[in-house]
Amino acid sequence: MKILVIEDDQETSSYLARGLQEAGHVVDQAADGLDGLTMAKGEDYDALIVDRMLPSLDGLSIIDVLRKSGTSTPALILSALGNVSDRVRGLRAGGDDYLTKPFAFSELLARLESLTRRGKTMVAQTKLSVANLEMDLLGRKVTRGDRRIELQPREFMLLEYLMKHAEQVVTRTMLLEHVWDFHFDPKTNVVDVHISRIRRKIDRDFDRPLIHTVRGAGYRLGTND
Amino acid sequence: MATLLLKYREQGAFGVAKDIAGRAQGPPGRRNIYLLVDRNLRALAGNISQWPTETADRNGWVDFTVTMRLGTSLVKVPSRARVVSLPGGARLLVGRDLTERQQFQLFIGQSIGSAAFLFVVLTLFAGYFTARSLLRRVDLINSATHEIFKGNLKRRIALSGSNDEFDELARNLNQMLDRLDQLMAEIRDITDDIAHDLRTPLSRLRNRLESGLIGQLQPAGYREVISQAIAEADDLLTTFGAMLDIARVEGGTLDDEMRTVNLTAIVSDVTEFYRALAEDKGIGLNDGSEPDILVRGHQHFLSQAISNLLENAIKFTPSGGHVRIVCERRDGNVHLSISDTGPGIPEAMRDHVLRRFARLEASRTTAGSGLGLSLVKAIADRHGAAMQLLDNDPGLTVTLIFPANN
Repeated sequence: MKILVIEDDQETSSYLARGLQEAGHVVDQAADGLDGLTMAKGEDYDALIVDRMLPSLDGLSIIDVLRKSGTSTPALILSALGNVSDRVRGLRAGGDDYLTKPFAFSELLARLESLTRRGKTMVAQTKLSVANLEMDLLGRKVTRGDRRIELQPREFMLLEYLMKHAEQVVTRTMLLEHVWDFHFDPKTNVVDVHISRIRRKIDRDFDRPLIHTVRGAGYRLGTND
Repeated sequence: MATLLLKYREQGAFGVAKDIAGRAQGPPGRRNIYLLVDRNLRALAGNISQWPTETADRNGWVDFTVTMRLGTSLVKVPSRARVVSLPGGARLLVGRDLTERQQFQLFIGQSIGSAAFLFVVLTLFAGYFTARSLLRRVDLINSATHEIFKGNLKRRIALSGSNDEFDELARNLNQMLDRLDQLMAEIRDITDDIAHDLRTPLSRLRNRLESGLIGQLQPAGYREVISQAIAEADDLLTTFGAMLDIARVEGGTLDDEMRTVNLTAIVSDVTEFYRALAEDKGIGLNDGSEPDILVRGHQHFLSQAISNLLENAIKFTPSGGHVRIVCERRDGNVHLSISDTGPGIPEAMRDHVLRRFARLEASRTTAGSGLGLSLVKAIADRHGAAMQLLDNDPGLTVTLIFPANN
């Protein structure tokens, strides 16, 4: 992917660039709001990573201008401001996701991946399937192979999120935000406990596990090991 | 006059003259004036000699001056009279000497004038002295505040003891200063706490990195050192995050984000979230809340507060124990209680645990920033809720008492 990083802090910017290049992406950098806007308009990027506080033009304004001029490149906002209202303001301005500094790089990569895929599969689906695991969103039914799997409502939502992001890394924070609408990190490993519950229901009696733990990052549902 | 007219009709000029002579006595200054003249204006009877030269107004009133004998001297007397024509061409004048009345008017006018003058003078004096004494007291307050912001934070404004508005102002300012002083002291304490509590993990982090630097390790060993260092750093960041959360709750602009929320639903969501964890630990988790209790609050911070309390309860309750959460209306308020069957907190220590970074010595070794309960306290304060730590015998009950939602 080709990614534009608009970030004035040199340290953070090169940390991002190095990490993204390591992950196989092409990275352009802008240290200033107006430069960033010009570059984002001039070139065709797959994703933008935009800091909120920038010299000459702040991050939210950049995204606002881009959206008004019809550019829909997915944008991930980075900010030191992490409360819910800031997040809401960021998303309302047209940002696609919001990440609070400091963040783990794995979190950033997972969210970026989720953003760029989302653009392509935004069709209203009534059925999800990964390998022989199938989910009927209307009938609220889950089957694997020919076996019916009973899930609690929240477990259903958790599996739905994992299946919608099949083959992507999904972090614990992403799950907390999207499945439970919790915007804080519990100190205990509650998410892991929930994952191990649906894992027991989905994977235990089958040869090939579908839910994988990605060390230091989160989980991935998919056929590849 | 009517009597005189009647008399004239009955007895003629002579009768009137006799009657007038009887009436025309009286003290000088306000005596009545009578004059009866014939058609040639010759005086027939009366106590003045000359018919006035002034003409009467429409109603027959005439103002004029008569010369009268007063003792030995002649005086000019202002008068006002009414004239009527009588049958036969005679004319009658009945009036009154206005001297006394005019003197009285003059006297009233002068009295009002001097009273007004005196009033103005006294008011000016009183105003001047009052303003001077008030300004002196404002000056006192000013000089005290000057001294305070020059750095003497212990200085207070003296009260005059008269218990008036100025004393009240001074008292309020003093209370404000006391509160600020108390907050400053808290901040100093917190700074100390932060310094103490962050030094340990930071030096642990440093030592770990240093040992990685000195040791001759295999690449896998370095990775291990680095990932441990990252874990330490993450813990530190979590602690800072919790401090920022507390600061945000205490000082921030949460009011815009407050709305009526269904506390029962929040309790249920958070409880369901932790149920799996409790079950894995062999702890019973029971939600006995009344349905649809509404409070005015901040959805996310309330979730976080309940989450912290449940997490603590589950953490400290041994396997086989119970955690119970109840949200109910009681005495017009909303009580949210979380009880566990863990070791509890000795009564003497209960205030202490609400302090930032407070951890009981017994739990020093368990994970946690020691900020969990402080955050809950801050969130409760922000919602106007009282926070109580009570004995669950055995175990601890934490109760948040929210004011009723109106």
